[in-house]
Amino acid sequence: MAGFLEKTLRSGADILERSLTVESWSRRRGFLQKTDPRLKIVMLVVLVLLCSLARSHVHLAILYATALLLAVLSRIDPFFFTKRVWIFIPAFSGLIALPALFLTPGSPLFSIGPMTVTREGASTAAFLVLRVSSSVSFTLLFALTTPWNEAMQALRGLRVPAVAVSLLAVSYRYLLLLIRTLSELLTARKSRVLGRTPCRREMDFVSRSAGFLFLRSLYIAEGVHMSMISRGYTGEPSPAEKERDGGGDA
Amino acid sequence: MHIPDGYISPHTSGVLYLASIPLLCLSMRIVRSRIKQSHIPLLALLAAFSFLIMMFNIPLPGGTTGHAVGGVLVAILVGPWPALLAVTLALAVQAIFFGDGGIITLGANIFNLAFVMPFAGYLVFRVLAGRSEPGERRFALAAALGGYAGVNLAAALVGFELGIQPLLHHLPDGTPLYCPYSLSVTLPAMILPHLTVGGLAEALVTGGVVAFLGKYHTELFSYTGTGHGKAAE
Repeated sequence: MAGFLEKTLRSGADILERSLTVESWSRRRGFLQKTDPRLKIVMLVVLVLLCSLARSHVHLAILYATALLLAVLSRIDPFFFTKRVWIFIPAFSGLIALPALFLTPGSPLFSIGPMTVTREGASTAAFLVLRVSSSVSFTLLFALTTPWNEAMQALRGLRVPAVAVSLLAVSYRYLLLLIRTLSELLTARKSRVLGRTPCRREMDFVSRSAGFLFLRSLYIAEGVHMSMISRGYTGEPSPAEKERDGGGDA
Repeated sequence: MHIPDGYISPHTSGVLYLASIPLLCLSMRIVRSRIKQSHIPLLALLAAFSFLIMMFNIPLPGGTTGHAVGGVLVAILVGPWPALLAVTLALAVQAIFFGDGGIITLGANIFNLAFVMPFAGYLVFRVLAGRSEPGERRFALAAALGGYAGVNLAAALVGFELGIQPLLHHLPDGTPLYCPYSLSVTLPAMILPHLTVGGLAEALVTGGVVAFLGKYHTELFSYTGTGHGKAAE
């Protein structure tokens, strides 16, 4: 069974891999990649809100089909997209929806051994799974087709306060750096230890690593502050590219 | 403990967005007035730190592992107002860049994990720590109990928000539109794991990090009358 080191390393590697995946999908010349990121943010909020407000399975199924169609038009591998949405993200939702199939009182639909699935239970579980999957699909489509710098620029274009945009951008940038630092710490520890260590020693290591990461965060923050000042930072971020409007956005 | 989109209604989340926005504006004003250097790099790095704490697997007795949220830890290290902003940023980065958590439920997640948890845990810590000094056993124990109390209160709140959904939003035939379970299911489902595994992980990481930093970096805990660490000044 994987220990805390392996699990944490896997989580860190997963986040780094996801940030790289976004870079590769967002460079493809698909429908959403060509769409103005400001429009994509508005679309994302509207579509996720529609998923939240839908009161019928048919409407939710149409929304999910729309997400799949957008993925295909954006040249995102449908197998990769479906796997990401259905297997990894709402696996948790599936587990939560499963008991509802049997526990919801109502007219019997079919039986699995001693357990009876009710019509009302199936309807309840379908609502939850379809709603979560559709919402996750739209959020994932936005994340896969929008590089973070374009997303930040679009938020500024939508009049989100500059300070909030700067905070998000710097957080994302330095999150990836701190994950690399943590991965190095854990890999170094893993390479020095053979066999199992007592839980108390493992916990000591976690406390020291987290404490070190906190000190490292303060140290980096001070360095970033000094470098921002030395580059003439005035409190207003300047975008790397000009905002674009295309005929396709209409 | 993040609530994904689809589990609670936009109405519930909207109310919690409305409750969170003034708190975020107030915390920004407080942080700007207290932090001498540019607050952007510090808050951003604290957000990245919060994200990492959420990512960490904590070894627990019996060979199992658990996850911590870290909201109380950040509140003890830098004060509850910067912690509110840092945890909010970590949640926003997760929702926007990684598609974890939710866009519509972000308001609820901010209220539960960035506001209630750090403030409640910090209050418990301050009461229990009394006049103890960093590096003392009582100081670290108070931090651990603050973490335990904070995560359990947040879990109970999440259980409550999920459990009221079938009462508030259902079709005319009674089919629940969002979380299908009532309070009698959601409250124990959220509270029991956090009274045991989740609470233990939170207590161990909060107490452990505060004990380590209290022993070797006492200067971080130069508490002022308003009770926030020097790290944020």
